[in-house]
Amino acid sequence: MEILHMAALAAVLLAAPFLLGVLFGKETVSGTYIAGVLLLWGSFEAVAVMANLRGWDFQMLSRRFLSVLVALMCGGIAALCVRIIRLKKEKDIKKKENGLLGEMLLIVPAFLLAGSLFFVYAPRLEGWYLVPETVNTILDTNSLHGFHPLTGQPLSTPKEFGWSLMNLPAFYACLANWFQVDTAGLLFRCIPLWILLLSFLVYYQFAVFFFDKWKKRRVLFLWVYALLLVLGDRAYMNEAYQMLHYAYEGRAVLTGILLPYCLYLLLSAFSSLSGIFKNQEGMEEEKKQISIFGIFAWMAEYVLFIASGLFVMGVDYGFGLPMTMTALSCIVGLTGLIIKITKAFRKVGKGTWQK
Amino acid sequence: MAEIKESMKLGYYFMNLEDKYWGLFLISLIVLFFFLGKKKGFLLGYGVLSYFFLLCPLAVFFLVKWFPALSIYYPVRWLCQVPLFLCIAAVLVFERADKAQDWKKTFGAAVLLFLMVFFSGTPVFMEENTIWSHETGLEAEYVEIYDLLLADMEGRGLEKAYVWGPKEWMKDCRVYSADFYPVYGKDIWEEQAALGYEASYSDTQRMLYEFYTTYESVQGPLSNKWQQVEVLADTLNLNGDVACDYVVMHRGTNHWKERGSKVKKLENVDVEGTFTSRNYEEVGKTENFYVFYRRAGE
Repeated sequence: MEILHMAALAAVLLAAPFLLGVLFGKETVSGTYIAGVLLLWGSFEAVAVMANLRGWDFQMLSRRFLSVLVALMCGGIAALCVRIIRLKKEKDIKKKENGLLGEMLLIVPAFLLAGSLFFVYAPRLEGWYLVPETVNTILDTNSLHGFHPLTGQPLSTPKEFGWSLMNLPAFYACLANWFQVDTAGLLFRCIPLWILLLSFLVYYQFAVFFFDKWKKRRVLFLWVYALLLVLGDRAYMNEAYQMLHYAYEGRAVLTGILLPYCLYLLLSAFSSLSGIFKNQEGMEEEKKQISIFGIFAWMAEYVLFIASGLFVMGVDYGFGLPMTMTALSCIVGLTGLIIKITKAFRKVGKGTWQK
Repeated sequence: MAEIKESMKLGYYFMNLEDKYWGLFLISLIVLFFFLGKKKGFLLGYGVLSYFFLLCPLAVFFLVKWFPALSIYYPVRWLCQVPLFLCIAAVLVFERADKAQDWKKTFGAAVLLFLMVFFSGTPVFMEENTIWSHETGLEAEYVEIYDLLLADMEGRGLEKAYVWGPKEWMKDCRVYSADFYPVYGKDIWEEQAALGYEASYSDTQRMLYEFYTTYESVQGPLSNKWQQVEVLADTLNLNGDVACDYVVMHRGTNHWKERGSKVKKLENVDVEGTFTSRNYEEVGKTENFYVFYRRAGE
């Protein structure tokens, strides 16, 4: 039964972000999936912060987020249907299908290399991280932040508001609750692979950005990244170390997914603004697609990036550092947002607005 | 001036600690410079700015000054995206070699890149991870003790249990099950006030912890290990305000085996007799540990 539960969890982790990502109208599978993950985390953050403010218990948070997720997924299914109908009308549907298949074929081998090694070599559990204990405590006490995760005792003083922003353990607890999987299996087996996959998808965005015309370079780029992860168990706290041993931690999500994706968004914003890389196919396509919907999708993505950044901040170094890093993330994200909006206004001024 | 000098020293220390890694990063920047040229020079600018703002020793000074939370240098590294630069540099080097239509150059570049990456760190498969359970990330013997306790708790009808044991064991008990309530949390010995949790430990709990560290230390002031075990058993037994249902004790070894170290046998300490004579009941034992239950009402 445990295997069935794990399989159901894996299916939802793969399918749900994709359906959510369809709402952003992205062209690629990887872009759609990452946008969906941001929406997943961002929406959970919103619900969890509300839960903390209103004093909901964990079960109520779990139920409310489930209904939000189902609603968003229904929206995603509807958007997917619309896209399929539109695609069927287009003539180059086969070309697009081949492109999507090729994309998956590029990502999967490199991911498998890193993933298989992860399965063979077990993660180590260092002493001072709190996520597994926090998940167990939330599930056991039905309280989000009322108990000390290390001793199980009720907290003598309520936590600062900042703690209510750190909801990654609550998200894992929701998954464990819905699919009835044990915390160790969830955190040490399922989640790390998912995070690893997301990291590869983000790096694939860079590969497309830098080496759009050259598929061979894209493959090489991903393989070098896989090698860096596999051979990168070099020093405490470096990116590879976190991705291989602590992928369920907020800091791994931050360094492996959110920060690189933020850099990607910034690079794409800078390049589209300054005209660099305009000879590349991907950028040309992006320029053609500028529309009101596109601008809103970008804005939503940046807002979600910030929400996700708040969400994944680790709980291990206290409030000061996460807030510092959140502030940095916000600054970077907002810079990108301003660039995008500036660009949109320029387009309006030049009369190149499409809708 | 002295502060800047100290910051430089600190930054230099961490750069030395991971010198190869940063060396690779700098090499990748140089490669980017040569291969990207003027047109894409903003990438180089971006890389150099990242370096000077995030990695440069001088940056430590300003970061620590403006953000006291960054008083240690490591967290800054989370902001670095070194693998990205390495990947781009590697691909560009390989592509340049490939364009020359010379298989020797291509092969040489591939080998060189691989060696650079390989010798810059430790491959994951060379780590000593065999003692860690694949399912839980915990040491196998710890899991054995946790299972022993859970089975005993079920037999006694206990829904939760307060436990005391070696810190390496106790720190992971709530990872395994939330039914375990350790006498004190692991933050008491990590002394990370930055954890954000209020240190709500009683004086007795702190005393227990202090005693435990003395007991663990080979160089501690108490040299008679048997006497130490007796004092520990008394401390646990007599302090009624410390809820402690189960006690896990070493079987006559001075300290728990750490990775790569050998277990030193000191004297033949009668741990079993010491605890059972003080209203403790032996629940079971593993290769290195005894597990005792404190009888209710005593």
